[in-house]
Amino acid sequence: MIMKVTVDRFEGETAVLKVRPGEKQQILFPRELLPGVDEGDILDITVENEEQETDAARERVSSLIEKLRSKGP
Amino acid sequence: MRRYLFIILLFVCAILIAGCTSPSTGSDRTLSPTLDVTATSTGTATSSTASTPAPTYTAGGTTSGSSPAGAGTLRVSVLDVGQGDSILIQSPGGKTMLVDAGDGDAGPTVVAALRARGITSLDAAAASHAHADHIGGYAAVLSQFPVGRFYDSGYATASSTYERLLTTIDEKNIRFSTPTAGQTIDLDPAVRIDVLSPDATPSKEIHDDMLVLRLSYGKVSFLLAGDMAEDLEARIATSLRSTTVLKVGHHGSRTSTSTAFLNTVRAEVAIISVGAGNSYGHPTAQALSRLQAVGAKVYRTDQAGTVTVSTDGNTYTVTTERTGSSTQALPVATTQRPASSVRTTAPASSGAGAVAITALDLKGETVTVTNGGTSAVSLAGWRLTDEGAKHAYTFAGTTLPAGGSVTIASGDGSGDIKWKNANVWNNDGDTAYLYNAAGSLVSTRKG
Repeated sequence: MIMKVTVDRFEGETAVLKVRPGEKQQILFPRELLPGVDEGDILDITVENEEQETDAARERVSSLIEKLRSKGP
Repeated sequence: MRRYLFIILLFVCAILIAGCTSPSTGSDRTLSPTLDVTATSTGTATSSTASTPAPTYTAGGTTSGSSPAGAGTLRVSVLDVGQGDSILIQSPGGKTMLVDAGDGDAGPTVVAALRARGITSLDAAAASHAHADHIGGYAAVLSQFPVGRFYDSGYATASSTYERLLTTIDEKNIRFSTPTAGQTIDLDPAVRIDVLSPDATPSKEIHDDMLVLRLSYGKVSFLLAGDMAEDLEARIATSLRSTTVLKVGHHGSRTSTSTAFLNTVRAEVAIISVGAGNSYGHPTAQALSRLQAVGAKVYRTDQAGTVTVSTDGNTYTVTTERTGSSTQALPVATTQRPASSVRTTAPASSGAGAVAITALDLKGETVTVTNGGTSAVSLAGWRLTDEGAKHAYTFAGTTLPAGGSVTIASGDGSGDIKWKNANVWNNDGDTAYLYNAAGSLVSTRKG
């Protein structure tokens, strides 16, 4: 999924991104993670689901829960 | 025009203004609650929904004897942690339990709140679910306080905050349990703690597998709803019963606190844990109006600060850190009502005390005033000024309904009311002051 956003404004340390073309939805984004970006810039945001990383993290957490449970009362 | 490419790897939903959303889940989990059973229940399981026996978890140690209600005070404090949840339980027998610890940046606040109450260790800690605004603060709490036992929903998310929490619990060898509906948690023999959710058969949705607890001490009871939404409210409907105090689900979101739920719970006091000016619109006008409709007295941590309910099992007292949202030092507000199963009419709302400046945009030249109370307030004769009262706006006949907001614009700003075409607010820093018709300062907000 790719979306284009306008950097509508900076509110303190938060960048307010408006999703084009409608600019009805907005995304609040930490400004420090947008170096070199100015108000009014148009950005492409690409969203890719890292399924392998998600599954691996969930697997680690499930194992931890099991380990903690199996320690007994 | 320059272009930038951002690859957002994980949980992009977390930055969308939708607020808390559930990640999809791909794996089942295996529950083995019998591993955690330390004692068998001796009481009658009044809210049991599972067909399995109801084990009792021991957090505090001894289970001998049973203190009658009235022997001591149970204190339940909904701590002011901004946007998030953290609830401290102090039992009549001196046991302590923390349910959630707020977001990561609230950790020091929770630590300070515990220290201020003379707490040096926690008999138990619990996480309603693994969202950061409920568990983030545990990093600080677990680094500062020994914890006797940790109760968890057991819902595995890929959140690194949650993974770090579990790793800390492991490293510190804290006893760990994932109780399910129908079981009880034994913190103090005088206080019954029922687990209403998660179900022994998990639904694999984080908001549905929420740890929901009901405390009862004598005639006074508490429902700690976590981020429970209406589908879970419906799922546990048969185990719900009339409850004195409701910690409102999901910060007063639109999809929580349904009318059907409220008609069963019939809470006299509703406490919303919410951060001022949060990005999610919490609490919503819908949740507030549903609470108003059942006559619950609503307290909000963004306005009242920490809200504490103290009870001897017969009567209860609500104490707020501050009244309304005034930044002035004010005497502690208290209300005392006998707990009763008989519904009485709603107490007179504090009304005007709940009106506050909820946003100040210096550059955008707008200021927003919100009525967080449960009844409409006329702003006629109220006055809004900047720092040094260089500019002042006097409201005409505006009436704010419960939960309603009005935005006053100046300069190039746009709002419900146009104050003046000139700029009012100093972009380098300014403060808005709101005075009521009597000239008393009601609210201030720094921009």
